[in-house]
Amino acid sequence: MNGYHFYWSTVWQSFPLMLAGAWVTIQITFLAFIIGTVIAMPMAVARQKGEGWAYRVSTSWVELARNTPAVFQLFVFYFGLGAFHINIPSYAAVLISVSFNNAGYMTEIFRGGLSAIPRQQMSAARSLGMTSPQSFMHVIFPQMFKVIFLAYITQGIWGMLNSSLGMLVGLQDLTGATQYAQSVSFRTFEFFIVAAGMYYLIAKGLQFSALIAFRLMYRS
Amino acid sequence: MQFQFAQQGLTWHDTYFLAEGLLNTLELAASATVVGTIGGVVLGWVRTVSVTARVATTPIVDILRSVPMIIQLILANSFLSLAGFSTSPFIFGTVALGAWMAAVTAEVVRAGLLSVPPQYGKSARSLGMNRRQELVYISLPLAFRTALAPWINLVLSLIKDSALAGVIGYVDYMRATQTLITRTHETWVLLLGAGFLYFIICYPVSKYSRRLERKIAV
Amino acid sequence: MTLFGKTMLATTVLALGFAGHASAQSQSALDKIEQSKVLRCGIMLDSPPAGYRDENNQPDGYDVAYCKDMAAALGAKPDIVEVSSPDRIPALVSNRIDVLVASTTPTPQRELTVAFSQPYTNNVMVVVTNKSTGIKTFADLKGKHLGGVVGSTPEQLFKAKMATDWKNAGTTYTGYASDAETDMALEQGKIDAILIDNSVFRALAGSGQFPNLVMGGNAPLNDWGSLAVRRDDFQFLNWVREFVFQQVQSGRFAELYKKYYGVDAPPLTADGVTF
Repeated sequence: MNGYHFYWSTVWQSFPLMLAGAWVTIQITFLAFIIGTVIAMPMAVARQKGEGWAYRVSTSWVELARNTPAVFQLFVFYFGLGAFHINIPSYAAVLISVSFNNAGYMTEIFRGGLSAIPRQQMSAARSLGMTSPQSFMHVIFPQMFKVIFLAYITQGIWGMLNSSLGMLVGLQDLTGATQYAQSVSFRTFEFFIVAAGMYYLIAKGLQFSALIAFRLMYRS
Repeated sequence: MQFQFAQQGLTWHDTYFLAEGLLNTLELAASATVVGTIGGVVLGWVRTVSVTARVATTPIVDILRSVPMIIQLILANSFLSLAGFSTSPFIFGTVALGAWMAAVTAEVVRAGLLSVPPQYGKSARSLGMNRRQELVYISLPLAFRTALAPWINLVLSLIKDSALAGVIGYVDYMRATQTLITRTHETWVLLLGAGFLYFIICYPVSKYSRRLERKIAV
Repeated sequence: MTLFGKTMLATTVLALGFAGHASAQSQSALDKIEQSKVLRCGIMLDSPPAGYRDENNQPDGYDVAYCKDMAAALGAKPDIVEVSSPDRIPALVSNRIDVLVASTTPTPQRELTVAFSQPYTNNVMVVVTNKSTGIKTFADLKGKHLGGVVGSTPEQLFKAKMATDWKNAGTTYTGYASDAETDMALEQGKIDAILIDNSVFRALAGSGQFPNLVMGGNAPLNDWGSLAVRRDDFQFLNWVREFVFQQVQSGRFAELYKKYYGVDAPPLTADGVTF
């Protein structure tokens, strides 16, 4: 096409570099997924209540996470903290900003799931002598995850997509490694095609393992 | 006098430059929304009626949903360029964002169509409507009700993702902000301004979509 | 075959047809410029003073001025096309631009993809550091946290040093997307030092936004920049090479360099060899 010749061997030479980048992407996606979930569970409960300081904090969090670009959120965590002389490495900044975004979106997903669960469930659990946190952990949340499973996993993948912005602040994730490799050889097309393929495989792999985990948990 | 290239602070002229960037952001988001929604409705409908079509289109939909937008933009730009379409970044951006929008809208439309109980369609057919009439007057309006709120959320994501179109040389609001940062080094004013601007565009829309969700849930 | 299958097939054939049509054109950029009277230059406008936007947000800089001279010599109008780092090669290969004027460092590896002229610019780099680090010379960078723009020449130098002399000394390197991020990271102390052009440092210091930055001596680095054209366009490459020669011998190179970089132009040749 247009006198352009594809050189795939260049990509294979840099392949170990891209694999290392892919590993960083997987780590951040997974950790941000877990951190986001842990933060989103109490926030969803607070949002359900509709009043109090916890409601106001979680509502502001949700609105900021959902209504500003992910690039903006990343810059605030990387350079914004830096302005107060808190310097965190790019890895931590990306992890925090993706977790922040995940938590915001997951709160709304969880809230939707919680409203699908009949109120009587909570009363029943409480009447069995469980405390409020116990009722949530053992009765309400297990049912909720079943309802929102697909949206929940989709958000995990979105977290992976957001982590690609780490390239801007020097993270050697899959996108960062690809950008570096293509700047050395100028083989833009070849490198980004391979990167796209790798992202697809990572997303599929994560979806598949989530599905298996889900099956195992709800088998009984 | 010594030539100095980058010491000017922000001027009133820059508001005009940012306004142009904002207009570009809105134009790109609007055109990608139109292209993506039309494509997504067709794709979503096709995916509910034909199994062959569903199997054939699944990889495309999957790939578009699992590759970061920054890479999709670079690839769309590269491949359309290689194929000999040498047009503006606006077109490339519309193609990349529109393709993503079509893929995700298709799923929303499909979910919407599947939420219409099959008896409704059968009743319509037994009233003497043909396939097309049934789709236009019964199924699509009902699906629209379910799909509207999730679709609005997709439009929001699209607006925010359009902030990445700068990587292919499109001067959107984010790119205009970066250009001014390079020149004036007034990082914080400009960056917070950008965050605030996206927020005031997105917040009312997401508020509306949430109200809609509640209304439908009742 | 279903209707759907036929549609897919038709679309594919159509797409291939377009591609085939495009590959038929292999005219030299020289002839096209001669016909259209327009020279399209791809320039990166996020790397002052080579390329930036002035206070009216119009493109300016050494590269922009160079492009205008080139257009004048061709009797054509200059068309400045802003390109970003990952867009440089697609823009060139796809004929959206005729020549890449982006202070691009020529390397044998890159020359497999595009064709470079001899150097048309040479940036003399200095070490810039945060006051608190105490770095005085390039040698002090050993064991420090370094930064730069992905794909730049300083990055290559740092990586080479870290693989040899500075090995196991705890030296780290972080590559950012552009100058704006790199400068901020340095000011905030996320990294200890960067290598930038002397004039860029003066502009940073003069902006008042970077009170902590100081200069830490010269860097042992010639940052050659070449013009790039499509790999198979020898006719245009010849013209470009001759133009670079004329710019230097007419004194225009020295004039432009002095204007934008504020210092006397360094030589465009390496000792003992011609390009």
